[in-house]
Amino acid sequence: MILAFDTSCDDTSVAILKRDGSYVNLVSSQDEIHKKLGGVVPELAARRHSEVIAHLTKEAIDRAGLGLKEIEYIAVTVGPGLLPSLLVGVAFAKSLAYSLKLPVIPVNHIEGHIFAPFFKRELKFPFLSLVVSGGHTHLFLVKGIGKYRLIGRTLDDAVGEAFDKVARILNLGYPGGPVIDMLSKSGDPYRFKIPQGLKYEKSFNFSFSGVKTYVKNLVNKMGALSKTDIADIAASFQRASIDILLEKTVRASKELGVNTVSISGGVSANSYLRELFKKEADRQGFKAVLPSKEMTTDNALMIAYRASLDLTSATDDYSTIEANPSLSV
Amino acid sequence: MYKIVVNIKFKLVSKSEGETKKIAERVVKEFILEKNRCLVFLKGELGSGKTTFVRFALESLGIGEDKFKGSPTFTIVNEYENNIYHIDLYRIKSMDELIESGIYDYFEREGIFFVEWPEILHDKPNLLLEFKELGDSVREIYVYSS
Repeated sequence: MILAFDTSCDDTSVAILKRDGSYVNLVSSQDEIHKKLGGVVPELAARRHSEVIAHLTKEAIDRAGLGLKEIEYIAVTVGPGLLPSLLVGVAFAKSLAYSLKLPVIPVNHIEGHIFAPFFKRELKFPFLSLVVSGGHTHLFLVKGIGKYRLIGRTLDDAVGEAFDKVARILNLGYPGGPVIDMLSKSGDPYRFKIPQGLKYEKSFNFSFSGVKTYVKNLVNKMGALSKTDIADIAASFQRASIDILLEKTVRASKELGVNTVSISGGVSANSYLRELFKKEADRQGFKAVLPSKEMTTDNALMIAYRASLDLTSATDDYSTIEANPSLSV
Repeated sequence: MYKIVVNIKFKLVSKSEGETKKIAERVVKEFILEKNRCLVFLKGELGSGKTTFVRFALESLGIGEDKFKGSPTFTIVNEYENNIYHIDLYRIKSMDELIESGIYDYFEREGIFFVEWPEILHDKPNLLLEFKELGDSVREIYVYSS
């Protein structure tokens, strides 16, 4: 059994993964957890992680119906992320491991995302992995555990950030992903021609910084926006950005001759992306793998799962486990 | 040898990314290079070109495109070699939150800080850059130095 922690950014998450595949996965922003902890606290605070992490751990152990004695490994995200936040998870994991005399498995948060779609599914190499979130838009060729080649990435804004900023320009609140997804269902995705950065470049790189300037100018030019206008802008933006992601990813799978393609990270919860991705897979004959909704956003279950794939990286030498905000894969 | 520049203010106009790159090179050379500590604030609306400017400034400081980590809006702090930091306070609502998050500790270090959305900070920058987007990829960049 693995007890895992993730404090790489805004949310505190604790998960337990048992040997039979059953699990508990708690995230501090989940409504029920939020209510239990009570009060409104700053979203982004290392101190908040440290206040929450012990409660979440106890809750996870209670829900799993187990005692601390049954834990075999402790896994923790060591990077990349925000240093003050990472430190909380790493220090907590190490202290707990020390007191229970357990080995610790350090996990790269991005590797957590890369493998999340394969949880409880057949894992076969090689596969292409597109990780799309507020902080990442990265395309990897995955040849094995620990064997990754970065073949494309955003040169500026991450696609999740573009969703948040377009939502902000349209006064739709934060985070932007879910609300744009919802509004797009009633909007006309062909009304506006939103720029698709690096579309005609052969590389598998992306650029999303031009989108916000374009949308901002569009909104300024249009003046007062009707509900239809807002839905149309949202839908046009969503189509343009998801289309370019899928277009380049599918092209990469063909050029590299890779038949399994996965998409993960917060943006992989987008319903248009999920639908179009499956459709393209059927049409073009590749295997599409998407994470369950629960595994799209930051969570500790994906950290536990990644840890379970290579238990040999467990160590009793805690001094080797250090937070590294700039960790790459 | 160093020059003392008091409250310089001038306006630069960029009509393309290429021109922004040249402006970034010039600003780095005149105001940032060879300083142990330099606090650079970048102000301007969404999409006014702050992140692009930092990308080019980092390039002039030896951090090439392959090492650029992209926009720090989500990550808040992107750390680079030689104590260079690209920080974006867009998501931070107040000074209290900045302190609680532990991010304010970064500002006590030596190094070069490029800070987007610095409005919540009380610190005085060594260099302030203001960006205005005028459409058709034309941008004005106002430079204030103390």
